[in-house]
Amino acid sequence: MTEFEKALQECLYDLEQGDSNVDECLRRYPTYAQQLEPILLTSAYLQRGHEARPSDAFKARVRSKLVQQMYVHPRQPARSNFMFMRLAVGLAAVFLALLATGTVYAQGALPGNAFYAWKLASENAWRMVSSDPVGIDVAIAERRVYELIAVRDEPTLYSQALEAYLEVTERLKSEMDTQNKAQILTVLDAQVEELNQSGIVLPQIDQGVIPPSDEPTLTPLPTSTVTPLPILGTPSVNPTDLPQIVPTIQVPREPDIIPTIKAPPKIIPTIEILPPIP
Amino acid sequence: MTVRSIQTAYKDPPLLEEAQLIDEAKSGDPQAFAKLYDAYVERVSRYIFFRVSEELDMEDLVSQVFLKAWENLDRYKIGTSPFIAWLYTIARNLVIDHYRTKKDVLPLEEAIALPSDMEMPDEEAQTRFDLQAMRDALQFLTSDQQQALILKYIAGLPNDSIAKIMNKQEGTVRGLQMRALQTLSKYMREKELV
Repeated sequence: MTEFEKALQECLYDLEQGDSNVDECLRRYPTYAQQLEPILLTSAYLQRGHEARPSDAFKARVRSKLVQQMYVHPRQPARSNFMFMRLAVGLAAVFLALLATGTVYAQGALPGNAFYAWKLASENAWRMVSSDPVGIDVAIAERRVYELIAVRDEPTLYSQALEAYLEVTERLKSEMDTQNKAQILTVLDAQVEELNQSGIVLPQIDQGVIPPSDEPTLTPLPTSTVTPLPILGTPSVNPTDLPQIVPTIQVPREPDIIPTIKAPPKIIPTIEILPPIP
Repeated sequence: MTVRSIQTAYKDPPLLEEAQLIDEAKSGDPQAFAKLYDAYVERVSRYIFFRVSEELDMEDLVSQVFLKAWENLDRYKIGTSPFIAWLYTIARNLVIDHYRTKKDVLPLEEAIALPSDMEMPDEEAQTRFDLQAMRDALQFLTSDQQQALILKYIAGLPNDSIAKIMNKQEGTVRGLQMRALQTLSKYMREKELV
């Protein structure tokens, strides 16, 4: 910036701030006074421009036109609410998408997996909304069989899977009536056979100890001690013998009352894991 | 008052209930917006008066500025910049669009007649002459130089607000103003206006 430009800028600033007028500025910079004068006068002259103002008639005409247009194009006051709703719907959609994805993913979870509880919860929801809970329980039992086979080499997980399987078989038993009895027993027999073929023995079912009684006796177990039972004989299942008997399973971790029919009072069921069949 | 004695830049008084009126207008109240129109129509009209040369265009442009403001009021955030600065931004863009689409701009000599709708104080012939001369002289500047001078000396805005309206740096605005004043002063001297 040249000296002249600095002087000009300073004078313009002083005029704007009201610190001096044109003549005072020119006296302060006598060297540049001749050049500064027309420029400073022009800047002062321009300030008279605010004296121009529209007539009342002009303002009224434009106002009338504007008001008319405002009523033709009314504003929507709920725009912020609309934005909020869009945000809420968006978040809900993301949540539902995550829920659906997680549920689908959880269906392949095995005991011990973080999603296994999600899987069980989704199965319960599935069962609650279904018009055929027995059919759903049969399908769930199939899943538990698959899980039992998958985790048979890991005792802790196996125990968890077995508990889940016993729970669903208990439920199936309670749902049994004259119409579906044969079907349920056939399915359970097939599952026992499948487990046997995988080297998994479920003693009570294997022995076919369930009498043909409609009212199973409830035998209380004294305590829930984990005492190994004597290894039972070679598992043998003959599906043709089963229609008259109901499979009964004793849950080892239930200390109070377990529905059973012909279980030894002092004996706690156990599971024998045989090595996989090559 | 003579030009030599002008000592302080003109500044419009602020509108005290501006924020409340804007809120009400945003909620769809046309009466609140009409009050904003009453408060700012003179300043917007003045800006457009010195930027365009045709009377009919001026009326149309002023109404368009306020209608656009009404339609886009949600975009204005209270407290970020003065409402009048936002109106000047709309006016600036409309004037630019106006000249971009309008091919048959009147020559300066044909646009000299002062619009009857611009009322001059005391109806003094000299004032009328001076204002029209100023309007004519501004036509010799570039569009940016015109805006930098009009917003500074006629609208009375500070340079930081002008820089925002023109979307330029403050230093660039100062440079535009100094060059514009030098160009304008030559023209004014030739016309013996200063």
